[in-house]
Amino acid sequence: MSSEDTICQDSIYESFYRKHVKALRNYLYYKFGDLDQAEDCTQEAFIKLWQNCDQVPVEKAKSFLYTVANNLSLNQVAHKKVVLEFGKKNTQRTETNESPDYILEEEEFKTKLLSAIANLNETQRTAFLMHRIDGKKYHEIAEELNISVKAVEKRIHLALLELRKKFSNF
Amino acid sequence: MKMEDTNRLAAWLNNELPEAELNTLRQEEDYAVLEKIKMYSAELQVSDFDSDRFYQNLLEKRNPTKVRSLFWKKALQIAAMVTLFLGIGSAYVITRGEQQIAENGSNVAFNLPDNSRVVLHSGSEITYSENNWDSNRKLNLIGEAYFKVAKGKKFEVITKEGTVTVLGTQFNVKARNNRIDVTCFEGKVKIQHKNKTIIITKGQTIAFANNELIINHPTKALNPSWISKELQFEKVHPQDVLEELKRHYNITINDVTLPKTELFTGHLPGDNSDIALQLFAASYHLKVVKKGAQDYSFELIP
Repeated sequence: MSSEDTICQDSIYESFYRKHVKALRNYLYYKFGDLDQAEDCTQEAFIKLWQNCDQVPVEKAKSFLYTVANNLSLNQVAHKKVVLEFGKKNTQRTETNESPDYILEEEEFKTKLLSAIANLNETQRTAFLMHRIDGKKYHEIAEELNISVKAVEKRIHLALLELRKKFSNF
Repeated sequence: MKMEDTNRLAAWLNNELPEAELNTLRQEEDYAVLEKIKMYSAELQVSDFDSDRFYQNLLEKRNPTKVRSLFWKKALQIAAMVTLFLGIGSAYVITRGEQQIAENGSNVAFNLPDNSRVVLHSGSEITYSENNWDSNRKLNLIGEAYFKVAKGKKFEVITKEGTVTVLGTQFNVKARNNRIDVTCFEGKVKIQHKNKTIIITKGQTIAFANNELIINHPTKALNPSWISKELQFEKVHPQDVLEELKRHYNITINDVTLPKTELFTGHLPGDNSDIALQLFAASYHLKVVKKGAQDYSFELIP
């Protein structure tokens, strides 16, 4: 990093924003289950980053951002259920000859999956969705949540066990 | 039957499970369920997000207007007892909500929701939350401000240099560069600093710098000197005086080596930058050269 680069420069601030805003907002959403709260908190974290831009080196900015967001979220209590949707292009399924029964069954599975995810505990849900939706690596999740990679793997593993349990008679 | 303590499903989800273990997993009866969870969860998404519009809102909030609406609900009620807690290590709390900024060269006066009055000195900043203000009177201060606190629940001023907790009074807190000055204009103030406790009353001023009590004496002032266009310094490092002048007048001054040991004590005018700089320069055998309306340089007197 060149020593002249600081978050105080508008262009650097903006590109940093573009890179991280969506993932931060999603992360806070998985945590709160409330989009408005998540977006308020996201905005506040970016404002704090700007106010402290001369004290936060560029390479520490992401860690600062998530720390501030985590601190802000300590005050948030009323959690709602996370509402997700299916929308990404499916690449794995083979599209041949799906019977109406099969399609119905799959739709049922998807609905049940959504509610099972919403009912995961906060830490498992957050780690699981950061991986599945935002495509983050375990080490990235670990860095953002300020926990070890092992702990992330544990959360993901437990989340999958929990989800699988919900479908034990499917 | 299974070894669930190895986090193997996490490795599996990441396509990192060794072949042998993968084959074992495939034998399990609900492997198909896992496969479906993996497949469908990859299709999940959160409702859409307009990051451009969000950025515009962010920019507006990031650079707020200076003064917001003032509230005059009732006359100020001034209580008499104040408690100040100072601790260099105390947490710097980040709250969300309102922000007031006094740019270099200007003061900003405003009222808090309970009509407590705040005057911010140049180059200072206050943030606070209007939510539940009456039951949670907390604000964060960077720099210097004068407070007239309305009667009510405890009132906290949080700075990097320490936290000030009061019940209601008039006092000035200046927290800059590892030094905190407190002057009490009305009421009584108890300051706890490390193991030392000091109680100051109306018309007394104290300062802690680098964990030492360096000032403790009476003052006849009725309000902070900077409110009445005067800058008062007592045993202040010359470099810190210079920083104060830059903030107060919003001027630039070239870097100059000032003696670290010869502390500055005295009054400088707060409404005439030329005279203020000349007085200051004379104390350190320097000459002032005015290079522009807001630009000065110091030179050694040959």
